[in-house]
This record gives sequence, C-alpha cells and structure tokens, in this order.
Amino acid sequence: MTQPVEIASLVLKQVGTLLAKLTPDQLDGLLQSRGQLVYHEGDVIVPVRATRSSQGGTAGSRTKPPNAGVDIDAVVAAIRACATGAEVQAYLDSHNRELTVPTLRAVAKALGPTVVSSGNKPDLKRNIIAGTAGFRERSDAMSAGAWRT
Amino acid sequence: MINDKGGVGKTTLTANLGAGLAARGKRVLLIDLDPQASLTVSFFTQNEWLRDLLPGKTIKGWYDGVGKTAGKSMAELITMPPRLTQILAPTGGSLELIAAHRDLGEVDIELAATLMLDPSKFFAVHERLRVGLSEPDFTNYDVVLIDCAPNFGMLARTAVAASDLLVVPTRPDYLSTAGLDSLGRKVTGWTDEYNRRLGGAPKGVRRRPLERRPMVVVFTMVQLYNGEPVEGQRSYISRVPQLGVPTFDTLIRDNKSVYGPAPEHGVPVILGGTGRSHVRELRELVSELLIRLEKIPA
Repeated sequence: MTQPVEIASLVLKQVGTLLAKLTPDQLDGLLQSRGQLVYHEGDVIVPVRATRSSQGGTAGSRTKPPNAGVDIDAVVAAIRACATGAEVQAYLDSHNRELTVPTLRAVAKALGPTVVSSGNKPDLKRNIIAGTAGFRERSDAMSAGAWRT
Repeated sequence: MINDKGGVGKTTLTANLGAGLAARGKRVLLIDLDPQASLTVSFFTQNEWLRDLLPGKTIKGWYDGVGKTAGKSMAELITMPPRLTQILAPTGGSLELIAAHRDLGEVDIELAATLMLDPSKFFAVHERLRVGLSEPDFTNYDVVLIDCAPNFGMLARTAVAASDLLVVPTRPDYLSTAGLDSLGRKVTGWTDEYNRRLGGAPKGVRRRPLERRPMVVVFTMVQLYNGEPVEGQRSYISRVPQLGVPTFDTLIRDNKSVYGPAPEHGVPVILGGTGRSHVRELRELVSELLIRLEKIPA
C-alpha cells in the first residue's frame, strides 16, 4: 500500500511537471492570484487563467465575471429591506458561498457611500452591516429617537 | 457651538465663524463658557486674560449673580479683542467677547447644587444666560456665538436655552458620530424636562414651552484625497444626514500647520491665515451659516 507521504511526493512531481509547461505569464498569474489550479476528475491538472475582470485576462483565456450568478441589485434590495444589523448579518451568512469578496465589494459600492467597500471578506461583511441597518439601529438606541422629526 | 465630545474643533470654528461674520459687516459677540478659556486666549494673550479679564470681566461674574436681586449687568463683561479692531475697521463689522474664567467648572457644580437644594430655582438657573442676553445692551448684536465646554452640564444647558440654533462641530469618525446621538438624546431630554416643569412654575410668571432647538452638524478635521473625503470618513459623513440630522455642505479640513499657530497671534485663520483654500472653505461655511440664521424668526 502506498503511504500518504509517497502519494504527496508523486503529486508534487506531477505538479512540478505541469508548472514547467506554463508560460512565464501564466506563472505570474498564479503568483499574483490572478489564476488558479483547478482539480478535475480524471488524470490531468488544468491551469485556469485570470478571473478578475478588473485586472484583465489574456486573449482566449477562460474568464468569468466576478459576480457571476449573483444579482447585485437584488442583494442590495434585500440588505436595504433588513431592519436590524442582525438581519443583515443573517442574510450575508445565509448567502456566504455566492457572496465572494469581489461580489461583496460590488454590493458595498452599490449600497452607497455609507458603506466602506474595502477589506477582506469579514471586513466587508462588517462594513455592510455597519453602513446599513447597523448605524441606524445604533443611532436610534443611543439617541432615543432624538433626531426623528 | 456645542458637542459634549472634546477635540472636535468647537473653539476654532467659533473664533473663525465669529471673525468671518464680523468681516461681513455683522456685529458679533462671542461668549466663552469653557473653563479652558481657549476661545478667550485665541483673542487675548494669556497675560491680558490673567491681568485684565480674570479679576472681574468674565462670564463667571454673571453666573455668580444667580438668585441675587442686584448684581452686575452682563454688558459690563464685554471686552474688545485688541488685535482685531484695526483689521475689522473697514468692514463695518465688530467682534467682541465675554471671556471665560478658569473656575467655570466650579460654577457648573454650584449651579447644579443650587438646583438640588432649591428646585424652585430651575428657571432662574436655566434662563440665566437668556435673561442676560435680553438686556437692551445686547440688542445691537446681529449674532451671538456661545462656545460651550465639552459636556452637557448646567452652563451648556443655559446656552441651549439662550440659543436659536445649535451648531455641532463633529469629526467624521465612529466615536464623534456616536456622540451626536448621545448629544441629541441629552438636549431632547432636557427640553422635555424644561417643558414638564413649566406646569409647576410660580403663578403670574408666564413662560412659553421651549421648542426643540434646531441642530446642524459641521464636519471638521476632514481628510481629503483628490478633493473628496477619504472613504473611511466619507461613510460617516454620509450616514449623519440619513439619520435626519441636518449638515452643512462645507467640510472643514484638518491642517495643524494652518490652524495651530493662529490663536497665538490673536487673529483667526479666516482673517489672516496662510492657507488660502482653508480660508475659502471657512468663508463658505460663514455663508451657509448666514443663510440658516436668516431663516430664524427674529
């Protein structure tokens, strides 16, 4: 029976062979996180090129938009409909898988200037909560409605 | 000029708005209610304050007279900053000041103690400044700007009672904007208490209910990048109007090398500053303030 260490060694050898076939541009893409190695059932490892539209891709490469499959307007409307920060949190958590970092960034920008649209995934989620129902909820609690006319 | 959070630029704005209004031909009075006396020493040297004003020409003299039948007139406390007279002469405007006393903190405590011992003095205490400003000597002023200490103590309450508009300088950050909510709650709570007590006021004394004082926020110490506030500040700047709090459009930028040295020279930036763009935005703020003041019924 082949030991796990030996398997890992064999896999690394295959990966090394594959990487040797990549162009300098493709290697740079991997290094800059513009590309990724994807596992497919079968006996090959296929490099997939850039997926970040903002950084562009090479001609002929397989690209997909950052928000593929996610309706940003619908997400924005759903978040705006939330009355509390906890509701926004629950919504974001329940759609965690499709709300990738680029998508969250697009959502944050679409929500307007009250939301900071930078940071990693936890930051972006926190910013979206704080910049929507979160600040209104906090303000109401602190001011006891003093600003309501 | 009020915000119970410190370090938001209240005094700097009071000095510059006052001087800017005077430069537009307005007759302006500044009242310094902060025991730190930063507004006072923005126009007088420390020596002038200690030698000429502290012994008998500060606002403390007016509050000391609460509950006494005879006392000083508040008009006796007015002083004229010497370094501005010549600058303002061609404008037709004037700027005068009632100085702060370093013991105003104690005055605040004494006023609170007075109310604890004798609640019937509620209106005498809270209306002390409003009564003083209703003296005939003060009808000549177009605008009175009151610089409050960073708290909502007794002196700040007398200032609110005497005011038509509360200008709230605020930094665009989390703690400062949270402080806005806290201030709103305190002012509203105090106004409600004032009106509740009207029912128990002595017979024969007619007082009108206090209306909620309009507030307007001015953002200070703003950091710009490519002409826009940096994103971290922009989010707070845009949240405040969404809460229903009116804000000035003009943003006052942070610049210690412009605002830092001005008080030492006794002339606010708006009259003699080195930063032209800072002077411009201060003038824009004066224009916005004038528009708001014009909407207030006389």
